[in-house]
Amino acid sequence: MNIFTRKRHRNVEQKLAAESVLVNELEAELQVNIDSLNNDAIHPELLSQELAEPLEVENNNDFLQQNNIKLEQLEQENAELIKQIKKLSEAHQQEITSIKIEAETKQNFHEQELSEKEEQLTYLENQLAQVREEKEQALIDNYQTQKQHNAEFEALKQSILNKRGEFKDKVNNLSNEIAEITKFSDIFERWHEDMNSLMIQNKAMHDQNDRFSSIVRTIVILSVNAAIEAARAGENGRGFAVVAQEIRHLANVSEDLSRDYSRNLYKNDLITTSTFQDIQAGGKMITSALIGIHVTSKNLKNSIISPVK
Amino acid sequence: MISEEAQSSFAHIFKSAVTTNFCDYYNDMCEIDVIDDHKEITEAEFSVLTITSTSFRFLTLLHFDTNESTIKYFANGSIVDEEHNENNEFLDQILEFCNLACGAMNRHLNDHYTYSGMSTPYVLTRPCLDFITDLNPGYIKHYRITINQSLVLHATLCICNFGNVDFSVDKSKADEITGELQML
Repeated sequence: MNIFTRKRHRNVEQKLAAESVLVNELEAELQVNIDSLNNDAIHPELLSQELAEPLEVENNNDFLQQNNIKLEQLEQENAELIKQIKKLSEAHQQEITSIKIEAETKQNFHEQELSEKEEQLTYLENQLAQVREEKEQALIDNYQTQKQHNAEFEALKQSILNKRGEFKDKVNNLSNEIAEITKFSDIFERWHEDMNSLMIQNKAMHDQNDRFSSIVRTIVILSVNAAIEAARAGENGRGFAVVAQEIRHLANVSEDLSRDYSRNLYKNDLITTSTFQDIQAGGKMITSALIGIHVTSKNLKNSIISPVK
Repeated sequence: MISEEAQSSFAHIFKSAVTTNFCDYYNDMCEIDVIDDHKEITEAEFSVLTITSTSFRFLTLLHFDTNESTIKYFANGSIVDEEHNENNEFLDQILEFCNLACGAMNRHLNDHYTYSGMSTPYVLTRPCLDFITDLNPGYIKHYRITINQSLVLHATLCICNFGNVDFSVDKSKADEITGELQML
């Protein structure tokens, strides 16, 4: 029974108690009337006494008649009161019955409602229990998954540390190799110095060719002089003239050769210089690129050395 | 093949480097004109310097005479003068100028070619110039450089390409003087 039903019952009980008080009061009033009636009635002993005494019959008859009328009135009043009490009692009984029915109906309704609510509550409690169970299971699963992940993470971390160690060694090797290769720039510079030697050699050949050219020019002059002297000698100098002509021819050929040789030396100067400069500049380009790689490998090495967080 | 834009860019960075490093340094007037016939070049010697990349080699030749006006110009503001030229200070000075100019050109080229290198300069004699075409250049141009309307020098740009060369420099960007003159 819920609080509303109990309250309703309490109200009905209070109302019934009030009605009972009213009924009691009416019954008390009825009792007073009866007592009064009894008091007013003529007692047989008193009546005998009165009858023994010499009274006036007429007065006694009137008095009796009046008493009888009074008694009848009182009896009628009593009957009326009893009738009213009965009526009130019936009305009260009906009202009590109606209230009881209403109270029962409401109690049934509330009990049904309460039952439904209790069912719902039970359903919700079951659901809550199920959710709690699922939650607990999920927490357990989550904990296990996290534990597994932690284990995997530790394994992965260890693997990374191992790999990092290997990688660090490789980067070290690479860095050392790059440092070694960077020294190749010395080789390019050495080649460039070789160019200087070659150019000095070319210059010597230029000088030699100049001297050769000078000698050839002298031979040409000598051959001309020889031809003149051969012409002066006349018939005796004819053979000498042929020799002088041949020497002049050879000198002219030598002069052409010397000129070509000189041109080739200049061409050689340009090609040698441009080639060796290309080598030197290419070497610097490679060295510059290697230095860049070396710096990158050093940075990589430093980043590997820094501790894993 | 060297594209028209690349040829124009090479010419631009050359002129910019010469103007900045030869003339702006002393606030001199500098005119640079292209010449068609290299026989106009009569200077006895020239310095040659090579910039190399994977796609090309770029030779810059500066023709000069060791005469009074040239020595005086390059001696301006430096320790070199006519009386102290016995130890080739003038030659060192002119080679350093070439070095600075080519360094500026190299920096321009670095914007387009990450990897490039520059040689040290070397001096050759005029007859060698006649064989410049034997280097099989993809681009060659001769220039007359007139400083203060009096001193005349010449220069030759020779580019041998080993593939397609195509780039474009920002011609509105001015060069900056990057350092004081230093003796080699």
